[in-house]
Amino acid sequence: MQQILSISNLIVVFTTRRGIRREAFRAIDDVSVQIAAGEIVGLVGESGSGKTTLALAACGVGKVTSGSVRAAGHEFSQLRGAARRAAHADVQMVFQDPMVSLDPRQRIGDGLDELRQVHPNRTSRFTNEQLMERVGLAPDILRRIPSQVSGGQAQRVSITRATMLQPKLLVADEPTSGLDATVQDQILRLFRWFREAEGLAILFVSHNLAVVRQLCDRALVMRQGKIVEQGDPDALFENPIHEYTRQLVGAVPGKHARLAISSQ
Amino acid sequence: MKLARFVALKILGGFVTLFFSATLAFIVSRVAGDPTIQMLGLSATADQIVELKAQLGYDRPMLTQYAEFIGHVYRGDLGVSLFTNDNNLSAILERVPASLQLASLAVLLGVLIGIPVGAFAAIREGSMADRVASILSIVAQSVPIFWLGLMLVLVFSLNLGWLPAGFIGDWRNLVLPVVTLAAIPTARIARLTRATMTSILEEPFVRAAFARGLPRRRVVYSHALRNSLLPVVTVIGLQFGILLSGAITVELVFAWPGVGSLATQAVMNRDLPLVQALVVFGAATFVGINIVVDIIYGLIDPRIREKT
Repeated sequence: MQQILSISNLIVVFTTRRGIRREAFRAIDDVSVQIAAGEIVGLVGESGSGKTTLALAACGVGKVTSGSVRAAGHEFSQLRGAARRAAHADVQMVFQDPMVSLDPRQRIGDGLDELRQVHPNRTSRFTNEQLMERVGLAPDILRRIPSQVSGGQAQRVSITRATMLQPKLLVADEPTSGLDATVQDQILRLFRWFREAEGLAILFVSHNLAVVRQLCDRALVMRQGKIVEQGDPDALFENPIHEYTRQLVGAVPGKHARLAISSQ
Repeated sequence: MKLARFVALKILGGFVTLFFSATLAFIVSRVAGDPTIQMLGLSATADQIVELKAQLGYDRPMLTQYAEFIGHVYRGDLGVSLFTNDNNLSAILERVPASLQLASLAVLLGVLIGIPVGAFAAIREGSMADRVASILSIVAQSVPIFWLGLMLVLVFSLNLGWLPAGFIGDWRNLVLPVVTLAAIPTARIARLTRATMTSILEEPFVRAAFARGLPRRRVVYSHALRNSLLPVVTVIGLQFGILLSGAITVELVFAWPGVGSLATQAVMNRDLPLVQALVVFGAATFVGINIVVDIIYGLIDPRIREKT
């Protein structure tokens, strides 16, 4: 099967200055990940485990200290200028808080137009109105600015913007964590629909095990910059092997973790 | 209709501010000393002083004087000068064009230099250029204005003979006072632009814009800079208000016949009605500019309008 994302032996080191001393911190410690076309892979772990750093590296905006990241056939660290910008069209990202990931003063429709403008050789098959309709939004949203729409609407706009140029890989960093349960459900359905309709591969970062189990084909568990366990989400959460995964499963809110997950 | 309500609220607030400034002007001028002694000289007899006080109405109870003063202010009557017997408002308005010329050119210079310098420093945060800009803006804000003005006169008028040292005339007479007056606004605008822009550049939407493959120029100028200019608009307005209602030092150094030099004369002469009039005029200018800034703010950022 064609690999859409291929990360091998990735190491990301951040250096922080504390007075005159420089401290190195390994945010990602020798991680390898493969994602095939049309596959949805969940990445779970506590905050600070390196999930977001990995996500940013996967879509070519994060730091790479060593190792290689190949996304949709592009090795971002080898690309510069226009070629690099063009490659971004193949790998798009949806961020955690849609309100702050949209320019607060740009009308929604202008944001979509801008993307067409900077990627002129990528054509979207749909007009802005059709794009809105596809994600269940009214066309008048196009004339609004982000503060005039709800969180769920804004996230659907983000997803539209990330998918309108038909990328091969979508990296979603906690895309549902700020939304209430009904809206969360709609967003997840949208991701699944894009996978079915366009064969989109998705790296889905979340701390919510229930959501990962509901959506993903495969799950990776990350801790202190390493992937400690991976496999089928159901198997992983029913019979966690690693102690950390067991703790994560136990940390699911609700009276009984198993019940909370299976009721979803 | 939201905008009309917004404007009405701002204007109402402006009148309240004006009331407090007029009250302050009244109190300060009464505390400052008796103008009749100053006017008649030390050799005046007690009878003469009493007579003049009665003539000017200063012998009446404070509250009566205060009520009358406030009443006049709200009718736009700022009284007459004790010395020239001219109407205060027209005396001030006569001086406004000269001050307006200086103030608007100084603010324009501040905007044209301050915003690009601040934006550049933010993009190259921590670079040599950023440090130089930041040191320069601290220097520009801390150097006394009269000293800066005198130094410019010394170098460019007296030593080099390039530019006239003051007085109203053609564009060459404007250069030195405008540059002197622009020092502080330029530095403030540059610092604020830099500060706002550095924080905006760290916002998720900027990272998101890069992740979508937008060119750096576009991300920086049409997304980051545009969002950084909101607070800068306020500072521009405030600076303009400060400069307009009395660039006292600069007008004194360059013998510029504006509102600032009128204020100096009024204080020297203990011309109480004129001092009061100037304070009220200054406050009104400030309030007016603030209202304009607020409206501009509301126009360019709908989020602010929604909150009122």
